[in-house]
Amino acid sequence: METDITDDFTLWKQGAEARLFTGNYLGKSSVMKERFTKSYRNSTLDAYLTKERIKAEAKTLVRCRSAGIPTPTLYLVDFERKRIVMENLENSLTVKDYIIQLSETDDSNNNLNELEFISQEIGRLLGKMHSANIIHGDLTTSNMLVTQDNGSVRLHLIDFGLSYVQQSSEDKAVDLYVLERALLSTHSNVAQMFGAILNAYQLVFKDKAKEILKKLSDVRARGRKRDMIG
Amino acid sequence: MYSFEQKLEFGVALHLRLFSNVKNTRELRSGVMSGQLLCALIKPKLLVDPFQLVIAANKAVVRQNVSSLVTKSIYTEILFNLSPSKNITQGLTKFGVGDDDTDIFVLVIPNSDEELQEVLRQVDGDMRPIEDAKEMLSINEVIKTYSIHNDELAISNLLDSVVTRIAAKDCL
Ligand SMILES: Nc1ncnc2c1ncn2[C@@H]1O[C@H](COP(=O)(O)OP(=O)(O)OP(=O)(O)O)[C@@H](O)[C@H]1O
Ligand SMILES: [Mg+2]
Repeated sequence: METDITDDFTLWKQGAEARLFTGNYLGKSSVMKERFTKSYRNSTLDAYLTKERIKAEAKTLVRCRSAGIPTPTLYLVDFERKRIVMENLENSLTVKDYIIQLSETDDSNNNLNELEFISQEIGRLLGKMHSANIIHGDLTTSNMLVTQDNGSVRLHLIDFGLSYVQQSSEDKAVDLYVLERALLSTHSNVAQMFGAILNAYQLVFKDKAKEILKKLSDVRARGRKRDMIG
Repeated sequence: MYSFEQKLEFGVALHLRLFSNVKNTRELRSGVMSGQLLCALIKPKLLVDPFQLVIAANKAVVRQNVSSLVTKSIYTEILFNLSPSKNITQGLTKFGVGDDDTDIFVLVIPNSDEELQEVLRQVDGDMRPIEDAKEMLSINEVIKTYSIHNDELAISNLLDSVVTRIAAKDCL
């Protein structure tokens, strides 16, 4: 019996809807993201939703690249085995972990600069993404990866299973709101950081940014109301 | 390096050779079309790197093993996978060689070494180092064929852009 190249992949992370494995695939250090069945869901519906997520993920990886947003290189899409295989962004940190790491080191001057820089990068990429009418759908700080090679910091977006194309300002505002909430849970100085993100966002996304930021305050107000009701 | 070999999924091995000054392209093509010559004959002009073929061939092998091919053979499937178009004929003519081509990538997924040697023996041309394919590449045509714009090339190398599109083709 021939062994398969994915046999010696090792389980790396277990998410809510997918398992991530790492290994060598066709000579490249790779991540395999395999979605699994949700037992409580009707199986026909589940198969349909899984396929839609895989499709959305692959499609938006390409769309983002076209719009000048770094994403992992895709190697395989396999609906049958519910998986995609992509480039492993080695030595990357999620923005979440990157912020935590910065807040735990001492050099506070430098840290402020780095926080400022990464905030600008986040704003700039999200501005590009929304200009292209791409809605991420799960814009948390775990779905942004930072790589650093010899001094240059680069931001990549990942995890597009819930993404879609939509012009409306409302959907873009909700994307931003999800990010704000995610930052709130990791970073004490979030107001400053989110402000820097929105500034950079407006710079690249001139024409419609105002309207989106106005929607954002509506979305925040609704969120507060929801929080009060419980 | 005159030969390129890569193990794909399901224990399948891909073999690649590059030829110049091929004198019997027409015969080779008719052999392929009649199913007597088991290989794909590919134009080097649109190939950025052998990895592009690896991704297209691996996708074909996976499909053959987990579901079914869209086209009639693994070799036509590879040409189809390389093409951004969903039109099969268009893919075959764009990436497959024509009768007048003299530079040819020969891609073989053989069951045995004899089978590989048998295919290579049929080619009347000069074997070249795989790296020489760079001289036959037209970057502008690649960019045009796969619709890759400057915004993307500012953040990605050409090969990564191309293989991502090949992998994602059914989702676009
Ligand atoms: N290409 C990659 N390179 C490096 N790390 C990655 C890559 N893809 C994912 N990761 C890591 O794995 C984590 C989980 O991946 P991802 O966000 O795609 O899955 P998920 O959150 O379980 O997916 P979903 O929300 O669709 O269920 C990421 O936060 C990141 O740390
Ligand atoms: Mg995630």
